[in-house]
Amino acid sequence: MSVVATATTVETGHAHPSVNRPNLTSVGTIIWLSSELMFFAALFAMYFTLRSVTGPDFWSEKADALNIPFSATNTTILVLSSLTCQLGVFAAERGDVKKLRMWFIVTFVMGAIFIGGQVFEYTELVKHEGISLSSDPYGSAFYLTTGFHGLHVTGGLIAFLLVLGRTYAARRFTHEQATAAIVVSYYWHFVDVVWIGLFATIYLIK
Amino acid sequence: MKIQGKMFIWLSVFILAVAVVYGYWSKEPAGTTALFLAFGLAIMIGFYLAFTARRVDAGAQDDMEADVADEAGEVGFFSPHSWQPLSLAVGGALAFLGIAVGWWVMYFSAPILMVGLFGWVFEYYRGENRTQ
Repeated sequence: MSVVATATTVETGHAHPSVNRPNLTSVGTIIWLSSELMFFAALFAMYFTLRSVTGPDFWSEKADALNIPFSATNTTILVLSSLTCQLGVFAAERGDVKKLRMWFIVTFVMGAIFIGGQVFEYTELVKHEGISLSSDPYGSAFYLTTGFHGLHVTGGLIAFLLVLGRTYAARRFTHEQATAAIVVSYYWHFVDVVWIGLFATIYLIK
Repeated sequence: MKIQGKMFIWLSVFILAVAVVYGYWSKEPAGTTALFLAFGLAIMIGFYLAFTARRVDAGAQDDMEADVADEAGEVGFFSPHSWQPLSLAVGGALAFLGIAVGWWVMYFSAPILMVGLFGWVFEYYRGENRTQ
């Protein structure tokens, strides 16, 4: 044992954080998400550049293959999952771990339906429309933008499972777990907002 | 906290002005989108800091008469030592190697990745370091 008291041996004060500082985990998450915004800016830039290089006629011809009603339904499910996620956060702030688990499981299922829908959509596009990642510039732009978003949603689903796992692994519900639930909700709302931007660009404006 | 929030909000105002001028002048969507998202980057941090500043005590940075010592105190929780990030990084590096070389590499990288991820997330929930 080291003679120096480390954070594992002293009371870290999670249950009663000092109020004169913001929560570093939340600040870090917001800063990181702002950099994620620039990552998606690069994907948007790629999309618009390829569109202007290949011409709007080529683009609209390919974009007509998209199934708008299906993807709109899928989008609605993702947007509503943001709502259930926030209800889970309200429960976490009250310290109501049972409600938190319930709402996060509901959010997880809705996110999983979104990903399932996206996989179905991809399969349809590849099989019936012949649009693949390497078929043409439209395919590359479409799959890279929506695919990277899909990977982010999948990462969020894993994060929900980890937060849920933490609530079961812990002896009692602490401030630290509430923080984890809150920052995962920040991430989820962010991914949701990015999807609204992508959906508007790719499916509606074309 | 207030001053940091204000700095990012002023930055966002500047970027917004640049984005509008650029978009209007160039009529080119890629750069315009990037500038508007850069505005989003700045306003997101600025709004968060300004919003949080109202819920926490005024910090030393908002006080013109403050001393360095006024910022003393607990900053946050930092893990004193951990091997889990190393495992996660090695697993992640090998996973990307799998994409480059062949998917079979994933059979070896995925378990390392999982050990790192679960080990890190549950480090203070299980075993000798348990505090939760």
